[in-house]
Amino acid sequence: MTKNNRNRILENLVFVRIAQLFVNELYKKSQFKIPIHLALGHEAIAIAIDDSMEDEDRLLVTHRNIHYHLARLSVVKPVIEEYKLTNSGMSCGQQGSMNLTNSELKIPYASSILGNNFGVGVGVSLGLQINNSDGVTFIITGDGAIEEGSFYEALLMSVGKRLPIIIVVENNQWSLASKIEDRRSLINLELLAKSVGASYCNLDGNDVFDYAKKMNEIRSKASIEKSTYIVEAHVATLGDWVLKNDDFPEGKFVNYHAGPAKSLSLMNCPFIKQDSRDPIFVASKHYSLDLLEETSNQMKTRIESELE
Amino acid sequence: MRNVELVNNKIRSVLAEQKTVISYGQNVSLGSCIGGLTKNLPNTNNSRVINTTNCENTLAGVGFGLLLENIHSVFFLKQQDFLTLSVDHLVNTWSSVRNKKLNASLTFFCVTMNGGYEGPQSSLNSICDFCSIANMPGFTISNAEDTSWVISRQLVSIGVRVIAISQQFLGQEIKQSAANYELIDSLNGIHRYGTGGEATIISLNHAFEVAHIFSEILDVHGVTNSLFNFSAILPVSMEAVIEHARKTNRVFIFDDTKSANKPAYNLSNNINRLMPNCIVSVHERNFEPGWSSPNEDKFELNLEKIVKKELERRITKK
Repeated sequence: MTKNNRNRILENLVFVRIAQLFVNELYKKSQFKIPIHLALGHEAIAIAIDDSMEDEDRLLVTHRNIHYHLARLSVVKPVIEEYKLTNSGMSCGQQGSMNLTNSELKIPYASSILGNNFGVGVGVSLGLQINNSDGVTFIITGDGAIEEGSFYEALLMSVGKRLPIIIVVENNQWSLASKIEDRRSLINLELLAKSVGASYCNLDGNDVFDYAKKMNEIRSKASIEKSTYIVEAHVATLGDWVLKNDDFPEGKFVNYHAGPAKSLSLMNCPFIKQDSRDPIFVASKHYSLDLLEETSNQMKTRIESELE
Repeated sequence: MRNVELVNNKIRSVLAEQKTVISYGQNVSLGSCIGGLTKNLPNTNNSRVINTTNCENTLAGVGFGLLLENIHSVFFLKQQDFLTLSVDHLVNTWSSVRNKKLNASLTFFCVTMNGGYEGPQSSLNSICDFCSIANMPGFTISNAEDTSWVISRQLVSIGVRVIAISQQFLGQEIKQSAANYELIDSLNGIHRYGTGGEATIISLNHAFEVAHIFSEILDVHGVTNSLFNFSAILPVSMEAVIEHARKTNRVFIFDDTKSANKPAYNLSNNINRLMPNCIVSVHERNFEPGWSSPNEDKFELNLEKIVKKELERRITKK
């Protein structure tokens, strides 16, 4: 990876984080009528996929898609305008957040229905194959949506038809208010992939450079071998808070799902957590804290100027 | 020669006109090819016939994915009942995709299992329910005229729709078409049979055969009539039918849909709204306990009784 590319990746990583915090500030001030699922903590995988995508690739996202749009767009104003449902939004205010798509960004479909983008992704990939394209289709999902039968259906069809599809499971352990152990047995995605003839890759640790390197390799293999991959990316959705009331006088941990992240503000730049749950903090393995601070401040200024 | 061969020929000729069209579904080119319906579909140039896994939910999504890549496709289903597994995409994906500029065609083509003795899980015949919940155009095929119009105009046409063909019709020997018919609404596929002006008969869903027999009985009893057979589930306009009904002031609607949401109800309400004095009678199927066990699955009505009642009404009126 060249130094320029590393710098671009770092800048985009910080941008996606800070742009979301700007959105969050507006959200806290009730500037949006629509539900928005922020993806603070999910930045590394979004940047890695953006970095690996080629011109003919496609990206099918879920209701939690802000990180992908920001990573692909590198500006935030059209996203904010879309969330405000104005004509100047990136989809002229017609799609809002959960179903936001953009053909120029190669994001043809976004589903707010769990597991609904699997089948559409298989169709998109089949369409690329019929048009003799080498494009790879990325289908984003989560640990909740893989419980849907459509995950298995699409996986079988993708492998059976030799489609270059990469299913990226953002595993944050949560489906709305229930943790994996509250709702099901563990799913060994590696074994599942192997059993149907797909390949598997585990991404852990939120190191954006490591993720980008691996996603580039996987993308290349999927395209050449016409093979299906499951990539399990372990993420933490940041913005959790502690609920204290008469029912929970000691306080109850509440995982962030959607809406404004009230516990966070622009003061949380550049880090929200100082451990491996935070991809920006993980970047301090590669860059000094001073440089991250400086990049963060520059990005804040840039976004402020964009939004003026 | 059975109607299935007629339908298969028509499908093949329409698909062969396309540069690229994907015909897919379970066993579309294997075994009996859905009872002969999908036999020898074009698999040349860029067009493909794809035998798929058993996954109707995903297969519906696949069609939408192809649509987003500007590729025509037809998803063939052996029976309408299987389409229930696709409802998520019919409703939710279509809701999300419908406002985009579409450049391709997606058709869900299923067989209504009305041949009888199929059992409780093969009895769905209410394509209108799918159209209603998805707000999607739908068309039924119950005779040769429907076959010609629906397949020519709707099988491959920009946009998305559902087509349901009668299994009963597919299995019958080809009959000579009624000599006296005309296509009176080329947007909605409404065919008119007969030119009589004393009664208006309308057939919906797969009720054509029963309505046609009724029309003949009425004729025998001296009541001239015209039968209007609707292919479209939700016709955009019915002007020609309304115009006829204004003259006859008597409308018989035949609807074999097994649903609480019958197109006949909508239609009779509309006619009554436009013509409060018009006498409209709906002849329908009612929910019966017998549906949950293998049976003949016939739309049976005492047509002689309906005719007798009508003749008595006419005498009383005089």
